[in-house]
Amino acid sequence: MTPAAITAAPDHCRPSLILWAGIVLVGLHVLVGLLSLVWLPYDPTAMAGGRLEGPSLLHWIGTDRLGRDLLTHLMIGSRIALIVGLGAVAIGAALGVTLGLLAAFASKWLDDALAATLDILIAFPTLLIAMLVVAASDTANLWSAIIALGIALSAIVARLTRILAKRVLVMDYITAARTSGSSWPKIVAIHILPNIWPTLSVNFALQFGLAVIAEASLSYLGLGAPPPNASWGRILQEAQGTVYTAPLGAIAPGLALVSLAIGVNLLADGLRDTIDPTRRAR
Amino acid sequence: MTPVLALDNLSIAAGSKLLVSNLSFSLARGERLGLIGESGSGKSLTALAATGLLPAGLSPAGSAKLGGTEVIGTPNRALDRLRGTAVAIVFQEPLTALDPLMRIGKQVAEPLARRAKRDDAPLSGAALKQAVLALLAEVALPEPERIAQAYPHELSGGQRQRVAIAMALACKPDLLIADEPTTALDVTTQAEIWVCLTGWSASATWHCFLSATTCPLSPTPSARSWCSDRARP
Repeated sequence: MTPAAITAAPDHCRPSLILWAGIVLVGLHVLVGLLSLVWLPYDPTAMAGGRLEGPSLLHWIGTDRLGRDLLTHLMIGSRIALIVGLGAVAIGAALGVTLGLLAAFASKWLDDALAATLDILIAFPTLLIAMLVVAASDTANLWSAIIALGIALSAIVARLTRILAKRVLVMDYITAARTSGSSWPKIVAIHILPNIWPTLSVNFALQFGLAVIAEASLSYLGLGAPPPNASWGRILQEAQGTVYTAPLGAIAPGLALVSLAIGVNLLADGLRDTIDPTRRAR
Repeated sequence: MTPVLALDNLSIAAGSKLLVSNLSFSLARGERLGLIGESGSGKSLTALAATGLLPAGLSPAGSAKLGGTEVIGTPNRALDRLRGTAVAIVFQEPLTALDPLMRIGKQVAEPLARRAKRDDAPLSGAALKQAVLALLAEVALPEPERIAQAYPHELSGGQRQRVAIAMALACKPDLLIADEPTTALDVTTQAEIWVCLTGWSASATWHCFLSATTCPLSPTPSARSWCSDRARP
């Protein structure tokens, strides 16, 4: 093999490999989540087999301490995790990007006031804010968890949007667009958002992972989706007592959680390389 | 006849520090003016003040009139209509003057379509694309079709500056301000850009107000030149 071939290969393969790994991991969860809407191996609330059975042809990853099928619960967990991740990131993005742009364009005192408020929000751990909001709402349900996580995530998005937008705002092409008579809304739409998007999208993926893990933590603490909905966090919590006799009950939801979080991050990394023409053309 | 640009006792201050003091000149239709001075003498600030685009923190005083309309103290919303009709600017650094994530064709189409809309002759689709290619050819860019598909980082510095000039010309402004349009380029390219700009200002009814750190090379594009001193401390 020639030296040229050795150095050329990684540059060409790296982005697409990362992207494909992300697509496969996330796609798997999406497929399973969609499948769980129309078909499940067993009724999630029924005792489908003996207690704490190991993997078998009937129960691929065994049963829990009440004899319910674990695969069924993990499949529902995929769906819940995706809904929570997408919902929380959507709320966080909408709220955060709006606030961030507002701060970037605002007068000095409004910018300072917004920045101080966001700093206070960021200083609180995401999980703590989410727990507060869930505890404050009447019933613990999936939506209160999603809204709570969305609000907690929006502070970081707002801070990031603000600084990214400020950096783009001083560029000559913004001034050039101004001198040629572009209005601010138009400049935001065609210049600012596209230029901050590559960085924001990677951050959204990180936050998707964070949201999924935070929801699992909330469920683990009993503040997430109520019992008939099987969240990975609750499966973990229920498997905790029997982790030595039936370790798969804890390992399986943990693996599901990690694979989704890694998959989303790989997907974002790969997508950023595709979106950003300065990275793509090499 | 109202001058295209008239500055009357224009001063620009940052806090208590005076950056430009009592600058007065006027530029009639068809006239070209060169503003020459060392770095930091306030050439770019004068250009920005004339369009009402001074950065926050700098306060202008005096009067700057674009085609008879006072710019100093006029709200941005009112100036938006003036910009891109009465005036357009070519900036110093061709790399930052273009949006890195937008194809050249789309960037040039943006001011072109806006100007056409203001003239009540909207351009779109194939007609707009043709107009973009014609404009790129007019600033002597090779292979306009390929350039229109390219991103700024795929072009050379001189090509980028030609695109920036094309974008300014797309506005069909009464006044074209070129703020040190060749400073960031090598000598050969500088000469080419000057030829490009002077060609335009001679052939059409363009009115240039050029600013440069050093006296431009080759055929002096300005009929008149002004030297600015470093502002008093």
